[in-house]
Amino acid sequence: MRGRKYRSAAAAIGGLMALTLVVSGCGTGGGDNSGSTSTLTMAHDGNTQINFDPGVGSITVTTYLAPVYDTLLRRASDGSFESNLATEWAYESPTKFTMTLRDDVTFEDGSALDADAVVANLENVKNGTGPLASDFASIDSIESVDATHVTITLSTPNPSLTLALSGVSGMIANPVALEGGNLATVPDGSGPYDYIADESISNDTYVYEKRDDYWNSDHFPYARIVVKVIPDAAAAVNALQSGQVDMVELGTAGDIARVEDMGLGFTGASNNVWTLHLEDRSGTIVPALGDVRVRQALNYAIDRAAIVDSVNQGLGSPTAQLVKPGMAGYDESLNDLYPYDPDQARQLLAEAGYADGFAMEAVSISLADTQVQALVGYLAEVGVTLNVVNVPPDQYIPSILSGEYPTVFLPYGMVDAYFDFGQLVTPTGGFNPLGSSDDQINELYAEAGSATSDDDRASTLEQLNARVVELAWFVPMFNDAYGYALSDNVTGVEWATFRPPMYYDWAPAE
Amino acid sequence: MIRLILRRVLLGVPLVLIVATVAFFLVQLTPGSPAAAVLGTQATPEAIVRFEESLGLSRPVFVQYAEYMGHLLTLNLGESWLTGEPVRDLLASRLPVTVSLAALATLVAMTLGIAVGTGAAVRGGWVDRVLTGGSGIGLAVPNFWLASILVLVFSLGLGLVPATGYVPFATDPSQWLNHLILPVATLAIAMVASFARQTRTSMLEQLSSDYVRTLRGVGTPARSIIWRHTLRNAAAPVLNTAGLQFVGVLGGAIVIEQVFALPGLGRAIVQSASSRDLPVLLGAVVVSAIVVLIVNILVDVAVAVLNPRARIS
Repeated sequence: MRGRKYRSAAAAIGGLMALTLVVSGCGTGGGDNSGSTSTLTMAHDGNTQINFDPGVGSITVTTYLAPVYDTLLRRASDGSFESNLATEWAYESPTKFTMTLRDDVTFEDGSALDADAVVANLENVKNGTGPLASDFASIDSIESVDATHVTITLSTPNPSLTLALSGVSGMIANPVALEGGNLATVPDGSGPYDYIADESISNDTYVYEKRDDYWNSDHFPYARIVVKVIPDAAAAVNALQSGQVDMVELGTAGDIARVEDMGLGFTGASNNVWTLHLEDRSGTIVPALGDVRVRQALNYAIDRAAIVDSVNQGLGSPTAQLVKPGMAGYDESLNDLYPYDPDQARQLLAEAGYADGFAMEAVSISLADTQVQALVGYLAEVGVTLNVVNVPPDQYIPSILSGEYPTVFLPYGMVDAYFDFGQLVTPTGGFNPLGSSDDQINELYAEAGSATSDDDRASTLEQLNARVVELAWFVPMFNDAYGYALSDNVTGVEWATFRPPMYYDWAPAE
Repeated sequence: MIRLILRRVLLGVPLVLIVATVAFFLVQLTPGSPAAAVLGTQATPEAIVRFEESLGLSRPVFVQYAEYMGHLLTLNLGESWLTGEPVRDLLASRLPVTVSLAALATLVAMTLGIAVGTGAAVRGGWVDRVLTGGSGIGLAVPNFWLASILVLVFSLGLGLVPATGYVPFATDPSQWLNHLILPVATLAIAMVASFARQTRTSMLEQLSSDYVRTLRGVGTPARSIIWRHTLRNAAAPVLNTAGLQFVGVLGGAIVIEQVFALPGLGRAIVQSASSRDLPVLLGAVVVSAIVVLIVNILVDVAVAVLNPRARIS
């Protein structure tokens, strides 16, 4: 009797499992919605403020906004600027920027995109609460000359304007929606795709469908774009491997290595230079840091190539400068300035009067612990004690900006050497919390700002970069690896130096 | 019975308000300006001031508290600072995911756990040892590890079920179930062990009691003793376990939702906490409290249905 009872319980369990298998058999398993039609399904970590108002957004929201909005300019992956809504643009002087607009672009409601719309949008960013308002802080006035011409007057030279106008700050929304609409949740732009709210789920799935009357249709071959929010990178790679998504943005060596092991495609470049910023360059908190020999010694003390191999799985490249390869201002030879030479480091420390070493604090987050500990080990070899203070993620940036720490461990990803040197090395820069100042740096920065040609600016930025490396204001370690992992279904995605213009010329494989 | 439910509900309302109050002040204790966290690193000081003023953050905390509680009583949870979406709508799309996950996992685990526990108690001997030992393994396995293994085998290896994602029931019921199989299995495996052990203990207690001896003495068939008498009496502790397990799953969902990319309440909590989107965070806490309350009421009712004595207390 008892035996029968037990057997029927087992049968019930078996039945349930069978049912499970039947149900799973009904489904399509992997690959729900990619491949068959021309749909591009992207995974994104959703670690951003997904708000469709370009005046509120940051650059990390590009994935969600690029389908629905056109930018004024387009930055190719090699860093060159191309025409988009603006057909021509120029700095008539370092403080006067002019643009000529296309006259055949319409918003979803059929109204024309004209100079007034551009002015309204740029003002929306400038006066908005978004993080990109700082892009336009140097703008004095924005005026429409006629329907297709816009003039921007600057209070100080800002050669990075083209960069801003090719990003979220340069996305143009319907001015009607800017004024009265609910742009935060209902985008209204002139871009290649319409946002399909009915099929989208906030913070999970974003669905876009191609517009019939788009002016630049040939460059957007996909009929549909679906962005899936997958916060966990391992889960996103699983989704890619099982065919649920076609593309994943990846930023950690472990995930990229895993993707390459699987034989999936990867295209990318350096995103951040992992760096110890020596903020206290006048030695107010840690007197030793006021001596250039000490700062140089710290640069000689670390074995960058070994760090790349050990903590970054061999991905990325050792570097002694914050400017990334391929960017204007980059100088390959600067990487040879501080070879791994602990003896040289000890000697410089001794010359500066720190033969017995010294101790200093660095603020960091636990996420970066592996990289930080590598640094701690190398510095300890030459007698320098780095006391790492890990703060919670939401306190990280405020702590860095507080000016309370002599050094900060901060992976920094330059987008434009002029713009970022402004943040990092000018006396009022946001990431120069203790206000370090060097006359030669200040002069070169001003010179780069008022340079009239791109070549002049690039060569001035190279000199500026060389000066910063020479003064050893930072201890850069390595360029990390970052980019898109993608399946064979997607073609045309090429990440050279910068993120390629999103969805532009990305096409399904034949 | 109706009085029991009413009393539970009336007791629940102040409880939810207390939870909301504690959550509100805990959030106030976090250091730093939420505006700086929401707007990001490059926000200008003017933008931060504008942001704080537009949300009324510069007002005294108690004024903000009074306003929050006032809104809460009308079921208005405010709007997300990040997206401007009403928190109520946002959570309404998240709640079904987590409740589907937790309810299915509890149901599956309870069914299997009662079967296993009853089997172990009734059969005894090696069956008991195998089942008890097996359930120990189930309890010991960390669920994030189990999740990875299940994905590796059933999704990436065999291609039977999707590795990530969620499809609402209303959109496609079979896909809904299909996407939930692995997450539910992950959660249920550990829970089966708890149910099995609870059931086994309760059943053994009942089987050794006087009334069972009497029933055996008058010749009642074993099947009837187990199904009609002991299982029913052993059910109360098992149901209470179910309530506790369900609540535990709500917490565990944070990990499982990350691994399987499910847009549930757990993910909303993680996202809103890390981006300091306080209205969403508070809303999620309040909604979780309400869900826990409802589950506890359901358990009390179920126990009362099975056991008349429980109705009196």
